[in-house]
Amino acid sequence: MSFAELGKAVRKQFFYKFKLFFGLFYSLVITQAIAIVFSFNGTGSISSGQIGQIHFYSADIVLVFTFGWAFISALQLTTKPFRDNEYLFVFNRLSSHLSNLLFLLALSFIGGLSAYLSGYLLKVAVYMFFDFQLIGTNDITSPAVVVAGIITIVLYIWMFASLGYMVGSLVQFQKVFAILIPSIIIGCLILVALSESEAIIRIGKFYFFESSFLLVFIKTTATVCLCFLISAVSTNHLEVRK
Amino acid sequence: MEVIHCENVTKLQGKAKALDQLSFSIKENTITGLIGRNGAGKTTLLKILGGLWRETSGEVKVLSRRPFNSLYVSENSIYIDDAFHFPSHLNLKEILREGERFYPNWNRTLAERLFDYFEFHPKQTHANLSKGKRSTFNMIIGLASRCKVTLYDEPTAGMDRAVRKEMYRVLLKDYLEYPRTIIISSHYLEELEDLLEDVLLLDNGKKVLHLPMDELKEFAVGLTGRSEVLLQWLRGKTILHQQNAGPNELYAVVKKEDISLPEAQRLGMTISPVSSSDVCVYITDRGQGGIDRVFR
Amino acid sequence: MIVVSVIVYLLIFIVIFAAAFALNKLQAKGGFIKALFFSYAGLLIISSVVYFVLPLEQAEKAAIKSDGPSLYHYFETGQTDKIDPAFIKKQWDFTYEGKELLLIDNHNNLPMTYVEKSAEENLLEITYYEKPTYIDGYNISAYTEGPNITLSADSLMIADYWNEEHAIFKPEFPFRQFSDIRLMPDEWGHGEDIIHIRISEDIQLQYEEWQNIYLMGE
Repeated sequence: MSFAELGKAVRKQFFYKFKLFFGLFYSLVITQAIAIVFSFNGTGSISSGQIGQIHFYSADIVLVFTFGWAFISALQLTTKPFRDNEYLFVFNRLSSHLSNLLFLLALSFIGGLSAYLSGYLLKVAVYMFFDFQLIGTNDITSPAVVVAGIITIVLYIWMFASLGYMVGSLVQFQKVFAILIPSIIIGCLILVALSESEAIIRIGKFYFFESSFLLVFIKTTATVCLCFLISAVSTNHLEVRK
Repeated sequence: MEVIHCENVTKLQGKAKALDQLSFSIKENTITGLIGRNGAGKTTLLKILGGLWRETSGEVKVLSRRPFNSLYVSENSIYIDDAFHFPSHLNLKEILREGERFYPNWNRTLAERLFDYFEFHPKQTHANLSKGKRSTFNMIIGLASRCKVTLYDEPTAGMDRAVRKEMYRVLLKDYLEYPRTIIISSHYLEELEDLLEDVLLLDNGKKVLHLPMDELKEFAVGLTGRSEVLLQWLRGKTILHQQNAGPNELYAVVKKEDISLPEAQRLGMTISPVSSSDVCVYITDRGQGGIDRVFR
Repeated sequence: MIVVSVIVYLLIFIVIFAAAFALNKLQAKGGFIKALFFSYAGLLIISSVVYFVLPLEQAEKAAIKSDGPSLYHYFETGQTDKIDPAFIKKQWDFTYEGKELLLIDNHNNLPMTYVEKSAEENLLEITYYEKPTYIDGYNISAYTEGPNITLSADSLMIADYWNEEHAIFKPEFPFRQFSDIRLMPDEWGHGEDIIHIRISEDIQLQYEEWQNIYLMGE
């Protein structure tokens, strides 16, 4: 198998996947629409008798929901019906993983860009249809920060997608993960809720409080690579169209 | 040149052996029929050859490569079965277009002509096709892809007799025009007789026979005669099948090479040819008497 | 409390993701999905364009004015005439001829209210003083109206402006991460606000114990 052959197969599969998983764009629109509705009350608000209420608007909720969408969609890519469709034509596991990696990046790009733009949709809707006194905006004025921010959104979504992909692959590898992983996630959430577990908050801060773009880039892409490596190893012996 | 080569291939499914120490090889540009009862391991073998499943042990070579995880084998082989489900939101024309993008030797003219001949509608979806239509469509994909190794697993499932015959004619014509290595598994061996060059007979994951079709046709003969005479004469020889043919009359099927026909004639037995499909059934019979034994 | 909110969010997430899961599997018609997706994309692009032509003000960090002593100080010492007139936000002049006046507020949320008795007749003069509240670098008080005070037959209604709603547009968190912008201020200083009522001696002002009302000079 030459490198060129692999590249050709990956390219073909990449475009095929867009046709195959077009339904993902449907759920993207629905997910973001729901998140926008949730955002109408403001991502945060403060109030007092003297100033009334102040709502702070941003598309944070849309972003978080898009993370979830990416996670679920990537997980679904690994499930049997999706995989069977994928493996109809020319493939091997390596080309399949590589094309999935790229496909998820493309999905993240679309999801991230629309999540970013949905912030404007939210704000324009609030401006036009809500009887609120608008105090002002806090727009980012530096183009470098805007570019870095958009890339970061895409990277975060890609990271969640590859996490979902890894979880799905592990479940395909050993069914026990289907019970294990949700238990771990829910357990962690409860832990955070009950004791504000330091370790988990530190993980969150590690990714989302990083103020250096370079470090964000390194941290997320390293996570993506790790997830795909684990996925590739765990599904290397997986048989298809059982 | 050997296109497919298997040596001591075993496939475990759970504890059961779907394939058991199977060894055979298939030459380039032949049509082989893969025959066997349900559960003989036909599908397992084809899926391993197509690179979909992984052999548990032994050596599998398709186009000199191990098919599992081989991009080269995947590009040069196609596995068609009736569970060949296409994405439901692609219509039939779009599926053909995808096939064309993936397979380098794709023959568009053939695909389109067959598509029109069998009266498919471009906007139809695969999921909405009837079982027979779906099989027909899958076979069109298999034909048009013109892969060096084409594996058909029960390709005619659900097709009516007329379509089956037409499909086999198309298969033969296209094979003559563009020779390649084809394996077809099917229940209907009679209809395939004129098409097949070789027959590979499996039973319980083991190879029973691997013969040219012509030899299979001559493999066995049926003898009808008086029971005592027949049984006496056949003592020590393998009787593939026997049944009562009337009062004191017995019909027995034996390997042609085991007996001498002139002698049989001399003993007053009626000699009848045994069709290749009957041979296959008799050889893979679960013990003497077949299903009747259950009611005994 | 946090447990409840986490559980609620968890439930919302589960419902939405179950829905997303189902939708992904749904064999929706390709044409419909295309139409939906592209109209959504169009809507996003249009709203981004619209956003940039909206007359929106960028936040400018105003220097917080904390000059001069506290407003309370002036009232406690009775030097109301020395207050900078810039802090007067609203004034009402009524003439009231009755003998008794009932003071009502709508939310039990009156600012500190000082009542000053005067020898003038039929006097009812109300002044609302406010030192601005700054949030996030904005002078919020510039956007608030102040209380609404109305006089009817025998009562004075002071309606606060709790109902006023304001919006501030913020960038999303990955952008905030690379800048010093925050979604919400960690803390904000309330400016002081005081209602000053000057009323004739012979008018009997009636109010409840718990209303935040002080008589000057007592």
